[in-house]
Amino acid sequence: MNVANKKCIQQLSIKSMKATKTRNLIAIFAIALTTILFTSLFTVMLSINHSIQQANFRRVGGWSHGSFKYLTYEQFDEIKNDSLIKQYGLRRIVGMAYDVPFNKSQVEIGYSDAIHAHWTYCDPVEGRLPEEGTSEAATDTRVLELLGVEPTLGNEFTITFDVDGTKITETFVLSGWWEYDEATVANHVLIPHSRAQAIFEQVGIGSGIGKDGMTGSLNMDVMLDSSLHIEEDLNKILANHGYQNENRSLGDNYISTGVNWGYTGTQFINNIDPVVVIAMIILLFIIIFTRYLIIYNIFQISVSKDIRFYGLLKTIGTTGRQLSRIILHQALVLSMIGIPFGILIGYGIGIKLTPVILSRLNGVVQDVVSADPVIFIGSAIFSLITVLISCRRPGRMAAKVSPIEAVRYSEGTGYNKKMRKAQAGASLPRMAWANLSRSYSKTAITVVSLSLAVLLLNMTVTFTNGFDMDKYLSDRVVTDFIVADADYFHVGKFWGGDQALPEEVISTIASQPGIETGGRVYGKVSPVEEFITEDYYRTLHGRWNDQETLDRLIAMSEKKQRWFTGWTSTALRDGMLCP
Amino acid sequence: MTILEAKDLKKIYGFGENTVHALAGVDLQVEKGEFVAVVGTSGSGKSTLLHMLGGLDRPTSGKVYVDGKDIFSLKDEELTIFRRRKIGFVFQNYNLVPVLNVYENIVLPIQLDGNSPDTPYVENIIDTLGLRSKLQYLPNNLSGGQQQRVAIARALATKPAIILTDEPTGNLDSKTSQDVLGLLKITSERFTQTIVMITHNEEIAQMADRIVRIEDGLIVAR
Repeated sequence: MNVANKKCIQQLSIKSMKATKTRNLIAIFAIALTTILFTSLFTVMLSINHSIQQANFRRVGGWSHGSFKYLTYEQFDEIKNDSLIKQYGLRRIVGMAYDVPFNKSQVEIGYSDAIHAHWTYCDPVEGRLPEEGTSEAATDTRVLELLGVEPTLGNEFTITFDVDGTKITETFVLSGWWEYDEATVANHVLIPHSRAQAIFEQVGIGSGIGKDGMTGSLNMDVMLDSSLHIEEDLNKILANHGYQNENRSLGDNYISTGVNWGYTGTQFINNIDPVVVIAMIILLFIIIFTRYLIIYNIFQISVSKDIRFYGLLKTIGTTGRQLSRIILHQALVLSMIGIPFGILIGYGIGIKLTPVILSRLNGVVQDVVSADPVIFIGSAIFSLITVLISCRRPGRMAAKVSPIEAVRYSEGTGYNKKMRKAQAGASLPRMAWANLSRSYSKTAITVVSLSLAVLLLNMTVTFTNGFDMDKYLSDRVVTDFIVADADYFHVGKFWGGDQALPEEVISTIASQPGIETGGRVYGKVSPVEEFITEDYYRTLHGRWNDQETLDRLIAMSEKKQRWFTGWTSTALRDGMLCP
Repeated sequence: MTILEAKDLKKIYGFGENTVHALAGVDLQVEKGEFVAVVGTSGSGKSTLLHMLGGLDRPTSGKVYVDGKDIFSLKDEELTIFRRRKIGFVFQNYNLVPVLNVYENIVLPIQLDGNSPDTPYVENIIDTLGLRSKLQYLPNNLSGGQQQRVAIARALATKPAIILTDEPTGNLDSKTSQDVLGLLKITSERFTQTIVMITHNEEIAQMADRIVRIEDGLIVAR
């Protein structure tokens, strides 16, 4: 029966709450503690995710959603105003420096507009980006260090680099510099567009694109509305203007695209170890359960204490449903006070805890604390669910109260023991012990809630403190350092007998104090031919090559109908010296 | 017209050795507007009878009709709603809600039903019982007699079919008892109410229109 008595019930609930101030305080405290647990757990979880994402962006070298590669000016003009593109940054590739001192680094020379520079972490900490029509350039501290140039504005530096197969040596004036980030693969030397154009004229590219298909072309990095469907959006943009990124050989409407894997690679749930997910869910359940026991106990005791009050209300015509609504209403009011407190404190704890956990995970990941609203909404919902399920049984107990029984009610009436064989007389310890068996369920609940609280504390301490870097590394790396020829470390370079370490070097290192033991790696990179299908070839090489390169590679290998050759490096990897 | 009827009402408490036949087959009829006193010694089953008549507890067997309705055919929730609409209670220990003031206590059963009080009627009751100056008081600041008057006002407020009272003067001194009973009788006449009163006090029972005696769970005289 639904009657308009909500107000009356709320009034009764509020008034009876005022009579139980201590209970309210304890309940608010318990609810706040529940929320603190959830909020700090979520803050830590999301912050780790957020930090890992940031670290991925740094490894990728930028945080734009995606990019259109190797565009001509005409293509760029057509695409740039597409409504799906919120903002774009532009880069024109000039060349790469391979020679000493850059033989161990990837140094790219090119023009980036201000947005592109910002998106790729090229924000000068001192000075500014190079100005058009000047001989200025901006770069990072690592390039300067390798060149032996002090990071002082106005200093000159000279770099030899490769532009579409032609070696060029240019001198620049330092207009700005930023700190080198060891997580980032590429180092950039940014030059003004006028200078880039002059270099292109010099090597004969002009406003076109070089023989390698990259030099002189435009790269457009874009931000979209959302990071959730980057690939679909990029394809849609291409389709809107009659382009495609499927197949180069279909015609000249092919444009290569790239999706920032920093976004796709860190969809938390997809990417994380299922064991960790299960552990998190178990932890969530344990939190809910321990909190349930505590909040349940508070309401249960309060209902038992006020059982005569509820009986009286029932006598004069309050229905069971109205009584449980009174309990529910009180729980909601207490939650409205407890949860915001818990969120505030929990977020504070989360902020403090995240760096502690991150510092044990990985040096590259910095402590960026996430302030995602998901944290607050999520923990509020979880706390509320806990409170609601906690007050269900007490609510039912109040609802079921018989108006007559309520007057006589005392706890533990289900006590079935008939006899007690005791002759020695009563003593306090014996009374206390006997009292434990008065209500087995109550004793069980008390014991479980006490032990679960300890368990929860244990788990939290283990979770935050238990990361042992040595243990973590023992599965992956045994040595402390590796000594080898520079080519051994350079991506894409071959190494073999020419790069072997001389015996004298090895014996010199081995005789150094502190070296415990070492090992050698024998091997070389060599071309190996094997028969593979085109599909396999594409999946294997598609990881590192864009569609265009893939097509070209396949066209080159297309000798034996549907069989292709592939390059494989077969070598024992590094061994080295342990102090 | 019969407003309240009990037929072969039995109630057995406890199990095994502890079995108590609180009611052993009670038949009772009360006419509209009657003031009936049920008299019996302690343990005679008179309180149990009142609980059954008011639908506060279910009998082991037998039926109770209030205003023509078989109240134990109702589910618990329906019975509670029926109770707050049709039956007013006045208990020995007043049973007022401690956190509500006098006025709120009086209109609580009406509001629980989702209705707003019939103001002139409620005002009339308040004046008749002399509670005008106490409306904002909380129950524990009132004397026993005043609290019992509030309980009577609350029982009358919903215009019930019957009022059941269990030792209404049990906690009051004799002077106050007379006052309260006088008020109970006057208001019941003024508002044409039917009253069933339980008491062990012969003197008080004399004020009723009819006296029913109960002994060992059976009615022995009516």
